[in-house]
Amino acid sequence: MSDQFNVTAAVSPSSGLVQGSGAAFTITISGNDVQTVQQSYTNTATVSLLAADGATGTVTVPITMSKTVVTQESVVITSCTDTDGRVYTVAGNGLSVSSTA
Amino acid sequence: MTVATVQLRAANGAVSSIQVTLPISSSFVFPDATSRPHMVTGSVMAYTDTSGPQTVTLKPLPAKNSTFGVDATTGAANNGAFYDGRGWVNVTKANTRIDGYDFNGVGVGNIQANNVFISRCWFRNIDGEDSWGVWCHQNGTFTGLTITDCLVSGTSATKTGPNGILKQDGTISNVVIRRCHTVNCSGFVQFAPIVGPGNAPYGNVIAECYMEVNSDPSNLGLHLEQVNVSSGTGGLLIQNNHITGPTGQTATIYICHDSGNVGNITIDNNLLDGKPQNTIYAGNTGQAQGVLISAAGNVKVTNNKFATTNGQNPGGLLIDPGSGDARLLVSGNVSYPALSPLSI
Repeated sequence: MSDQFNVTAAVSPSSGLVQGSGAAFTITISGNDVQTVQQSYTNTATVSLLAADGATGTVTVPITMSKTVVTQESVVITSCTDTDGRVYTVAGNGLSVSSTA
Repeated sequence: MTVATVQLRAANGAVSSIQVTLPISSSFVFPDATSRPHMVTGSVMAYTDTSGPQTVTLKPLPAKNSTFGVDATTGAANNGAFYDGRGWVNVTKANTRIDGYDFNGVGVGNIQANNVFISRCWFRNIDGEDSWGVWCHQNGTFTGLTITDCLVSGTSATKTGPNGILKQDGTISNVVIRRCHTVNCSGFVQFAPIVGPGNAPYGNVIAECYMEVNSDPSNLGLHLEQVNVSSGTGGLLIQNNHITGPTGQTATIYICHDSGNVGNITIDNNLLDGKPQNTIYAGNTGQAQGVLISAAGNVKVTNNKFATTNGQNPGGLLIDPGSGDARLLVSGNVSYPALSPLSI
């Protein structure tokens, strides 16, 4: 199994924030986690046989198959930190965090 | 530059994180001519660092046949510096600090060691070409040169002054210049090349400096940009400086591949004034010389204040001739003092 987070983040407002001003800003994420799973299962093949004297029979052969299953998993924010040590609040839907400049 | 790290969790329990650069400019107060960061009265230099106003009584350099310098960690004499053949100072021992000297008539001629610190020094009476406060042209690869709270002053605005605080044309990474001041010099710094891995946060930093008015450049016939970067993709952050562009010269900040690929440069939250031809010169692919910024160009110009009164920055926001270059990120820049958004 593997997970590929295809997530982008945007800051609003995108400019004009001044350190220490107290202005609020929000970071919002969008995208999903692409989960890829290799699933294996066993199939059985039945081979019908015919002998030269006319007798018949069967033989069964187990065949292991695999398939790739890709699913889109939703993603939420669990926390946020920054290099200035701000405190962030995670929104109820988990898709954004907010703080002040 | 503030970077936020957002922790993520998928519905299946997988976790990851994403980093976001926040568009927050510093409230840093740019030094100006009425509050110069370095003033010298007699042998006393007054300056301001992060802890507030400071003074230091400058020491004359030791006799020409002596060695000097201290261990930057212990403060004990380590004799890491000596005079070269022309009487300038070479540093050859790692972790050497040279602090509080009056470099009257000479500069630091070479850096040949790791983790060298030069602080609270005054470089003067070194007018003319090849007269840098510090020049790194060593043979060998080193890391760590930190220059803080130094002043380089020429004798007159109408005389060819010292070149500036630093020329780095050797192979030294993690060069930090902080709270330094040049006045009546023909520039501030030259990098040829920028050395480092090129990954942010960059190890090479120019911050909180005042690059005051240039001396008369008419006698040199050279590029006299305050910041001249002519090669290297090792990463350079230019942030929170007050940079006065040289009147009539090519640019205030000049980024060009004169001696090799160049890029990975962030110019953030600087006050840019003066009357250069171009405030920031970052070339593109249209020049006869070829590709001026390498494919890894990655030049960011963000949150700067461009003085626009009295004919300053006549070339506009930037960039000649790279305004259409997708490898440039330009955002959050404003006019000054009006703080109106500027765009290209």
